[in-house]
Amino acid sequence: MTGHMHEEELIAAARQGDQQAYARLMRSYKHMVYTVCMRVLRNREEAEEATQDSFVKAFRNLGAYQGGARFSTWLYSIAYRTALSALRTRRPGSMDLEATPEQALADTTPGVGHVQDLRMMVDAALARMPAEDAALMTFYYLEDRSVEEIVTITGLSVSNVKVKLHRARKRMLELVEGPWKAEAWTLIND
Amino acid sequence: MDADQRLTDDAVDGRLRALFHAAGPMAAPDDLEDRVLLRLKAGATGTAVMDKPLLSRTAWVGAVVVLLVLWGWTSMISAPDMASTTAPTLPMPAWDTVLSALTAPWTLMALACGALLVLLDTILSRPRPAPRTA
Repeated sequence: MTGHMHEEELIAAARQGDQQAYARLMRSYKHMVYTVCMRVLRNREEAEEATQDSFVKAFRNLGAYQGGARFSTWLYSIAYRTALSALRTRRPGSMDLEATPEQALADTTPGVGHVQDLRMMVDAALARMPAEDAALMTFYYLEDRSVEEIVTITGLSVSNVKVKLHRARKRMLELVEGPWKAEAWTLIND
Repeated sequence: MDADQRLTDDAVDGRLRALFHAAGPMAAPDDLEDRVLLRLKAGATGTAVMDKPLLSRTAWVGAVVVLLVLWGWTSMISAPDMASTTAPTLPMPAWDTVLSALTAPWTLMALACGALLVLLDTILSRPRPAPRTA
């Protein structure tokens, strides 16, 4: 039934209550939704919980999705807000130690495998930024979203998004053009 | 200068984009869809439930009516011309005792505190998430 359906058809079927169609939609977006939640929360368990919450909320509100924006934009908006909400209500001391900048930096030792090394490098750099900035960087550089789309996702103003992106990019460049320069660009070009 | 700056920004953006793309997104758990579907089937997660207030709206209206009746009645019996009317006299308890007990500072403060607490419970009651079943 859902074998060869396009995204619009999957959304329409999910809106009618077809959970298998929704499972296929989840398969397409779960890594990015999880990444957004991880960038904001920096804790695996909390990010998994927020990812699940996001998909549950999205399913229950599919009727409100009008199709004006991309489905992914609408979904990322739910994920971003859910993660931020979880961040604001989190219990003190629940930060994942693996996500702290010091630990991430300590783990950034090129040579294990270049994708893992690059991921650790990006994780470590983003862990040094405010949660919102890290999420914005992910939308802009990983998902190739425009500033206008990021405004739709986050609800921030255009100028606010630009300022945050500029600040985050500068911070990132200090790392990848500084102490990690050789490793970063060698790994990318491999 | 602007063109040079833009060229530099574009080049930097390109390199950062390449870095992010090479690193890729983080891997979500394999069974995430199953867990979400379980929660959707369970149906309770995410729905808001409302705790019942200590006193319902009807009880509040009833309490106000009772207070008004009591107030009216006590006003009538304390009226000076009550004895001169032709209305049948009702069997009355020892009103002086009742009134003095009701108007004692401890009684009034206890009633006021109780009313304030119940009022706060009504005002502050908010929907809360239903308990997770899966």
